[in-house]
Amino acid sequence: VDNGSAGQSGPSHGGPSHGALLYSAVANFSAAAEQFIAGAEDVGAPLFIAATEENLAAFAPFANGRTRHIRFTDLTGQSADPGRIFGLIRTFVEEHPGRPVRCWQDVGWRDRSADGLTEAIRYEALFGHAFAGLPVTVLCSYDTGLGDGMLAEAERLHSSVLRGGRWRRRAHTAREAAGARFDPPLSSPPGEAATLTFRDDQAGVRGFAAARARDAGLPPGRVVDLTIAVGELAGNTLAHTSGEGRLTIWATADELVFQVSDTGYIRDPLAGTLRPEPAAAGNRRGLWLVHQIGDLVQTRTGPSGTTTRVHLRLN
Amino acid sequence: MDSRPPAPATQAPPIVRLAPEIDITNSGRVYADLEAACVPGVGAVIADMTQTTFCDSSGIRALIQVHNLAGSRRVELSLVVTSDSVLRILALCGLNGILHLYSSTDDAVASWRRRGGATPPQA
Repeated sequence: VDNGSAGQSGPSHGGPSHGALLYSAVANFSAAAEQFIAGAEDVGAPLFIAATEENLAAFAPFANGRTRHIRFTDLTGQSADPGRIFGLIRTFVEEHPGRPVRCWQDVGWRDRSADGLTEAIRYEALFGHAFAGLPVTVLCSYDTGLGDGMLAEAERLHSSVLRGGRWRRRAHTAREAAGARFDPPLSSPPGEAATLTFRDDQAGVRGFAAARARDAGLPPGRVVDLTIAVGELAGNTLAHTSGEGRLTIWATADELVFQVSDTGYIRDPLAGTLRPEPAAAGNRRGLWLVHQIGDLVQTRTGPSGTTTRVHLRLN
Repeated sequence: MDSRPPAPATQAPPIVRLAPEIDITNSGRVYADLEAACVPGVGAVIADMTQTTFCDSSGIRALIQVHNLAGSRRVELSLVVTSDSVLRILALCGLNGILHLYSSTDDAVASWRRRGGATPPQA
């Protein structure tokens, strides 16, 4: 198991390192950002940074002249879906085989939705499994304003913690080291949600979802996207199960939400995160596409069935 | 169209019109139809997707498989795509620079003729 040399403390590890930054002020964040970039520079490590628009601005003074070696992802202007971001990090690691890479991701920012936080933490718990044996260092930032419960969760999931300018290493419990899954159940859909049971009528389920999305005011371009995502999930039901699927769709004040439930079991917890080679003729694009489209995608799967829930912002 | 340059003696490539919606229930048929058209010596095949308003990843997979097979037979597969949805999934999959895309069958034919009706190099 890794012993936690996160952030600036050097490349003296053979495996992954997963640290948390707990910050309470812009100054905390900026100091950590500066150390992070300088530390990567020292060892010539390629850098991946996924951050909110506000936090990206904090990197700017230290990234001058180095941006060729840094790949930035804006979590405000684009989807912050944790599965999508996890896949971007995996892809970045795979693009630099054998090289130590450094990745920064904002995980706990203040106005992130509760569902978004829960899902992000779910992927945090998969970190050790996904990057076992790889020389990757990931630092995950959490705003201390999220409260003690979230901070305890953040501490539990990382091998080292940076707070107030000081690093602290944590000993993993046996349960953590074994890669315990974090799979809290999804909330129940509201009573007024529309539902459709389907199997062979794939065009029917796509049309049903698109009509409700239009009624709810989803912009036309996103209705196109929703139809693609519904089609992939409904197609998976037909391809990978012998039973019926169930589409449930509803609107909240600011989101259009749908989910597809069926009797399938997705055994790979990282399914849909890794970008397929464009020219490859394999059949593994469906879930990955859903993660590219959704503003948030939540999958819960087990021997008794799978539900994939997709959130799309209404504006 | 009148503005089109005079066609050389080369035969026009066969055009295969694809279904209005392509998903897992008919993507096997899409593959079979295109594969049958991509016989060695035909030079080029045009997949007419102007009536196609939806294509899922199983359809994308069929198109990639035919594209690869066509290359090995020295046949150029061109896709004529007008739907926002089909263009969107092609872009998401990163296929814009890999598959040969046109916005009309005339453009696809004209492009092939401009290049002398040449068959692509062996893949």
